[in-house]
Amino acid sequence: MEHDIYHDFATDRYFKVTRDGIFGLSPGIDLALVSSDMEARRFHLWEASPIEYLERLHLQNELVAGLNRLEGILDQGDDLAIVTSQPRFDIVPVTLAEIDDWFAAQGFEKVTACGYYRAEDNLGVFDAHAKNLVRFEHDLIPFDVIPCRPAGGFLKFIADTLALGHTVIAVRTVSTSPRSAE
Amino acid sequence: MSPIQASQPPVKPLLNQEQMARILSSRRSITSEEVYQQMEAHMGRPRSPGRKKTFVNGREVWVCC
Repeated sequence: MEHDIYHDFATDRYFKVTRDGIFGLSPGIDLALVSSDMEARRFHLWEASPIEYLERLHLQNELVAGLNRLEGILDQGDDLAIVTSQPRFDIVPVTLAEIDDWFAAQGFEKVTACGYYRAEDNLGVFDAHAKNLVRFEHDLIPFDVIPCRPAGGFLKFIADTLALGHTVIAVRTVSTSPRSAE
Repeated sequence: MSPIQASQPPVKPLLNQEQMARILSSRRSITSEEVYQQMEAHMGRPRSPGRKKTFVNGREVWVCC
């Protein structure tokens, strides 16, 4: 979890503050050292830069209207944090099977566990696990997924994977440290 | 906007403004205790601040809680 989260009862919004200089994850590919007969490309979730984080929020807003609001930047000397807010949603849990079905109904194909791709608008949605979506009637609200517009080698990797009927396993590079309560 | 972004097809929204307005207006009010439970469930950790300001060698810094 790359955020500290606070709730404001007056506006009924959650305020999210990035921490430890971590700005979430950005999907892409990496190359592994393997023998010539093996696939060297690996799907990878990298730590994102601040601009990639803001681009992700912008893309989330294009997917879900009015989801994120940029509240400001905290300049803490050697530590920069981005502050955003989201409306609170009623928590109605969903299962992974329901998530698969809903994305399929929206025209997506499954690329990884919790990762989907729609060629129609060249849109990838990753990290779509049960903690990052809630249900509203027959729809799901993806409030903390990782959308992206794949290009270049990453787009070709997704296309090749889907053409072969494969799904891939994500490798994560995350340095966020666990914390205990005060 | 980068050249790659500029050449992308428009995003087909998953939830539009009308849908979001309906979702938000239908929310039930909840207690602070429920809010905290939801936050901790989503974060997977206690909701206490992830860091605090303190002095280390006479310098004010952020440290993990």
